[in-house]
Amino acid sequence: MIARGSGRAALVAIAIVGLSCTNDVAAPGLCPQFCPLGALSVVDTVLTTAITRDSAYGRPVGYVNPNKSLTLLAATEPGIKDSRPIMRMPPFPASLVLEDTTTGPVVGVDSIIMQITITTRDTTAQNLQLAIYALPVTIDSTSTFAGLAPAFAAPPIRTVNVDSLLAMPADKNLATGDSALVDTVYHRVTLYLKFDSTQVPYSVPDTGKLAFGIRVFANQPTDLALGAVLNFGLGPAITAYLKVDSLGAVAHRRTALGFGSPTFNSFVFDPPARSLDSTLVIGGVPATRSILRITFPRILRDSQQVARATLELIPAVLPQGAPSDSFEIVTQAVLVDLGAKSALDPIHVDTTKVYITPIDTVRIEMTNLMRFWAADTAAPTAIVLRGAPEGANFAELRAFSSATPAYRPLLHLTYSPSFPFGHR
Amino acid sequence: MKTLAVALVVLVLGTARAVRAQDSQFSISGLGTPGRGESVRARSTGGAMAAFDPNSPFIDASLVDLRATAASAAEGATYRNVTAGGSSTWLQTTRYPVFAVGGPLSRHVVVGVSFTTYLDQTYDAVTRDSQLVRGTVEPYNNSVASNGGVSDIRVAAAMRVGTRLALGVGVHALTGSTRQTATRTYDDTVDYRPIIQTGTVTYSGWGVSGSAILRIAPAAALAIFGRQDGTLNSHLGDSLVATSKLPASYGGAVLLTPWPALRLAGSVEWQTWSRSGQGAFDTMGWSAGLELGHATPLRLGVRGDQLPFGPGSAAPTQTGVAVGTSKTLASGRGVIDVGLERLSRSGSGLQEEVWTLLLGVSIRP
Repeated sequence: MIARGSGRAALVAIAIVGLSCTNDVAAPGLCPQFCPLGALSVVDTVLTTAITRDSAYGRPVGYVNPNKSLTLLAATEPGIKDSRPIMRMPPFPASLVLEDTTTGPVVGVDSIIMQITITTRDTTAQNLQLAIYALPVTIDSTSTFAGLAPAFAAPPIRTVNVDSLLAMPADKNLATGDSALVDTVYHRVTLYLKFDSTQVPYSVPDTGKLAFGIRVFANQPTDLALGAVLNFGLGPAITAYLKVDSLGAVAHRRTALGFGSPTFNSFVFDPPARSLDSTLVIGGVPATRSILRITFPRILRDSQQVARATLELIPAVLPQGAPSDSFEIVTQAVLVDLGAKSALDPIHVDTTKVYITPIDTVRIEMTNLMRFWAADTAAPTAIVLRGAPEGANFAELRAFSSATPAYRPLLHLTYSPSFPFGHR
Repeated sequence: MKTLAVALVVLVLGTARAVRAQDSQFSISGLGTPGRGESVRARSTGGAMAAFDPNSPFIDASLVDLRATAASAAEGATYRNVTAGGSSTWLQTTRYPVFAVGGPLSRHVVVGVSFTTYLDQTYDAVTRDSQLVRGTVEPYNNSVASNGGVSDIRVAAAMRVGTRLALGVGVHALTGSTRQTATRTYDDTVDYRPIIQTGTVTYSGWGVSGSAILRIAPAAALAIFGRQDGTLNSHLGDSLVATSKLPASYGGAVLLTPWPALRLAGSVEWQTWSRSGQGAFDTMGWSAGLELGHATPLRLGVRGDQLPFGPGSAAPTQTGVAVGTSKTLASGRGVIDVGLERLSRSGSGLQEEVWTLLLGVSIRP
């Protein structure tokens, strides 16, 4: 009986302990009478000399140049920017399979389908048209806007009205053979444009190599971006229907779908990019970066003391770019400070969107970075400002550097001084 | 016996928390809420029996009544209603305020080691306010929280001198820590990240105590006791951030046994907490209680005392009633004590109503 009773008692004890093990002590504080001594204060201050040794890099050779960009920029903005994508396609195969293992030499072009993807466009622009020009197959990264002006002065070999094509049933123009595929998720439009043999004649010396230039037009100044060959799956491509000699007769054969990705693509524009000066330049084409060294305030000893940190830049000129457009500025810590060749930290990043509007101060949030530096005192306290994605947007920001004391970059910091734990 | 041991282990170790007493809003701005070295048995009598209870590390001389090695532990689940400014809040805590072990060293000398709460500093004060930041009024919530306290590790010895007198002495090591957190969370969580600062404050100090129990008659005993604590040093990391003088304590208690099944007790205690600094007061406490019966006794008690810290010009007051009983198990080798205590505290416009469910386990292997 006693053993059974003690067992029950022990179980009761365990049950009571288990059931009553609680801890909820949060209560409205009645300050100052019934509050702890010392208060958590928050200070909002502007550090005027925290930014030092700042400079810009990336002109004339940028971190990303037009021929390595993810997008091919087209713009027709009279008096502001004229940009024209250019591309050189690979040669056609010298022969194609006729039957089984029998092959025949390629003797001409029947037609080609060019695939290009519009990744971004000004949706307010109406009557959007693309004009495709034949360019010399010698184009390369040294080609300039002025050098290609004569080729663009000739009549285009094709013109397509994108708005009209998208208004047709199934986005197909049966008369021209053009069609379009609309990606409603990413708001992309892929165009499939047909060229006949008179528009893309077969050149034996060039083994069928083709080079194209593209201009964009609308009822108003406009711009758009085409996917470049480095933008996986979104770059230009052609599918060729070729004439093949079959024992004296002409047979028609098709290359593999989309076999012809450009061996070179880029874009040329006018006016050319402004060179660097004493300002901090961010973004643009060729892509620029600015590096800023920050004297980290010693008062910050704990990462969680920082409520908000904002880098304030005073634009030296209005942000440059298409009106009503915007671009992202990425603030990135460096793994090691090597100036222009600093290795960027892929983890500690802050991003701010800048709109192309008159603005007196560009504010770039960098709370994450300040918290990171407070936690890792060995990390170099330098940041790189760059556009995102680089080289894919003409928009650029030019802000005063510390070389102009009256308008130098500022660090606006909202933080909490150390709490007086344990003090009485 | 084995199940009793299991219960004791669950009580003492299973929750892995420091020993603490119940906390109070009154002590947020002070050193903390003082604990009392009272077993569940003593606490169920309002604390009146503590001076004569060998399982209560209240005074050292009571150890002489330990006839064999014994261990005891206590748990208290507290539900506290705080009322101020027309609003009230229920708070809940679970504490393990006493753990003691002791036994005879020789025929006349008994030694014991105990862990009790000396000061409890567990609270979370939440306030709401706003601040003008960057030209915008930003509302926020502030929270200053503390979890932990100072424990009293006592090593004591008691000796019987003759048939009527028992003497006891003890050395007290005061140690412990509090994990403190100060948090501010702005309503605008997009632009402003939460500020969270944490710090661990460690405490150290020493104290000595002495006491005597004199059996003045076959049915009456008188206890007198005193204790002197030194300075409590508070360290944040390696830095000494505060020193606070700790009080001296003096008191007396009487136990009457008019017949074997009835025990009546009363005690008074005076503590000089005002030494510890601004906002601290000397405190006076009293208690009276009875224990009726042996195997399953009924215990009743009342108490009245003061809290040493408060914002006003006088010490907050505290009154309480308690009731409890116990069950002897395993041929007297184990005892489970249960009790219920209600305390009322008031001062400077704040009131606390505290209900504490007490559970104690004692084993004598």
